[in-house]
Amino acid sequence: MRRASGWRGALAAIADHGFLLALAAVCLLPLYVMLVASFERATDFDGAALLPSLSPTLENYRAVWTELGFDRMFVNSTVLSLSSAAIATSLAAGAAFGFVRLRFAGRGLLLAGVIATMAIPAIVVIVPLSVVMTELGLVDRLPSAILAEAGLLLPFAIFLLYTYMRDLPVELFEAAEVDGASRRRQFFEIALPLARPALATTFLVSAIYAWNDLLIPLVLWQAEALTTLMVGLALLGPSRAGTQNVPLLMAGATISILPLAAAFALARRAIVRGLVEGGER
Amino acid sequence: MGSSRVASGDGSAVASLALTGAHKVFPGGTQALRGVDLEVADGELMVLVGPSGCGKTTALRAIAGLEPLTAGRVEIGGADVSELEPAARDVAMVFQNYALYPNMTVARNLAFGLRARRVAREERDRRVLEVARALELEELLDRRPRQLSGGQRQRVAMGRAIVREPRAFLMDEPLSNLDARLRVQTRGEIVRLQARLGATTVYVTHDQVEALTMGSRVAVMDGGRIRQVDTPAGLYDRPADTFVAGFVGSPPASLLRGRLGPCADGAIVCAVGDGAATLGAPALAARPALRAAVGREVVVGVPADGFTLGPPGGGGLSGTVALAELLGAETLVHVELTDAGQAGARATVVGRFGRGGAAAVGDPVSVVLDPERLDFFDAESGLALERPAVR
Repeated sequence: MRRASGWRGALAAIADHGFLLALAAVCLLPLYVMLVASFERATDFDGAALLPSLSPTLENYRAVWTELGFDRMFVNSTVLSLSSAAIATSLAAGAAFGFVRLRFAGRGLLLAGVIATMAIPAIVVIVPLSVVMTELGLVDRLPSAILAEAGLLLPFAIFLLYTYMRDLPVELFEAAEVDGASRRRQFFEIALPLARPALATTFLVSAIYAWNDLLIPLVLWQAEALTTLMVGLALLGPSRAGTQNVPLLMAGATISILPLAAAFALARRAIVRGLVEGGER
Repeated sequence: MGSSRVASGDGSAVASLALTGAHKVFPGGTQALRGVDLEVADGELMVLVGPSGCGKTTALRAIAGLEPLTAGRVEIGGADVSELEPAARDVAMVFQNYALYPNMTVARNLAFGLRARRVAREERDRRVLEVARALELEELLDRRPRQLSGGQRQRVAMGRAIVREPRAFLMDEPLSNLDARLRVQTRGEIVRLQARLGATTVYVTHDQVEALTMGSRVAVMDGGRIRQVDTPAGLYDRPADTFVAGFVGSPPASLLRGRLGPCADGAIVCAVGDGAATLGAPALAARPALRAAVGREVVVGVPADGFTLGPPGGGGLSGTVALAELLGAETLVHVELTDAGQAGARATVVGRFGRGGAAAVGDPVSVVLDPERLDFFDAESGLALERPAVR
């Protein structure tokens, strides 16, 4: 990548990459502002200043974490995100394998139907969903949001895993069939191990979606003990903080995206490892 | 391969195989099999050979149970297995691209079928090790398929089939992914292995040399039908139709248009283009049916060793040497005939000659047919005028 040394080379590189740098700046600036503001004192805060405060403070984080209950929200978000992603990914793996390996009447129609439901936004089903959950007496109990979130994630998860499993060499399953392996064994010993990269991707994307989702937990987990980070952030607006406390809001926002950044960094390596150890292809 | 005994004659019973009236129509309407009857005896190595799309792989997959037949029956060991799942048929299959499980080590690949069939662990380990020894895979047991060479993968695929001790082996072009030298070597190894195991085997290939050198019997397929089932020598000496004649042999027989006519002394003359071959008593003794065809158009099959080259004139078919391919000890000479026996048609005969006798490209020559080596086929149906002795 490096073509020339010395400051002239560096200048040339900057010119070359100027466009990309500008683009990166547009993406990163809001994050930067968020980060900088989160360390300001509410009294010092000046919306126009771009430089970090001379007297940074962790007070916002402390206040958000302990007084506003972000510690509990963090746990709730984690529970919602991980369990709904796990449920969606495992159910989708079975469904995808079935769509790939089983030949049954109405298979194409069913698959098309599943994929079509991806187009239905959560807001459309939230009212009936809420009614059903109320009838079942599940509102404000753990399973409600987890199951609803998993259900919303399923079509996408099935689609992703189906396209991946469809491309696995069919002879592997035929060889296993002739070898005497049951469908169950084909699923657990061949399809799942070979689909590991896709499973990781599906789980990760599902977890991020669930983590970021506002609607489902807002409606189904109304109890304060079940508030998630996204719901908490939404409530941290002017109505709750009185005069708008931007640094406080920014500290909350930072907390809410930290796990995502970490998950991304870790999972990216896992996915690459999965690919390398995966198929022969 | 090692000398140790592979699989056993002790437990597994090999079995005969049969396809009866097998028809297969794919959903798109493609007719892959159009009434295939095939019987493979206990312990026999039967080769299915034919050009791509002839239905040979479909036939093999039908025996395995991977392709349900539209009509017809599959029998293994005399029992109808047409409705059985592949697992219940107790056959092993070697796939063209080996289909090794990439996520498993060689040892686990070998053991997979045994685990699936719930063979006890000790027995499993013993058999895997035995097969690994015989196929020289011991050192590779902990490797994964992608860490193996093509030849090693091929041996693992063979081992995975052998270790099961199935009632029959089905092999779908198992050598086509190997380089030429390894292919010839492995060909011999498979034949020896098959003989030692005494295992009923159906072997699919598109390579007729492979078919002739490996099979105790060979079934030649084309267009979803079996054209002829015979020993390799039988295919070469008594091709059942023009397809078989033009497919078997390297190079295969050249097919020319001709007409049979009467001749003095009860002989028959076969006119081809501007030349002719006279079939006297010895040639006719082996071809009694030719007399009935006198006066008819025929297709003449000229094997590569069925003619000699002489100077122009002299009663042969006149032509020009178009190509001479030196193959080490021998030369393949392609002669383009001046008169192909049909208006506007071009015909080439290909012959195999020693190095010395080869003519140079561009030489005018006369093709002198050896009447005893010719095969005659009905011009319309393409069927041999003499039915081969073995069906």
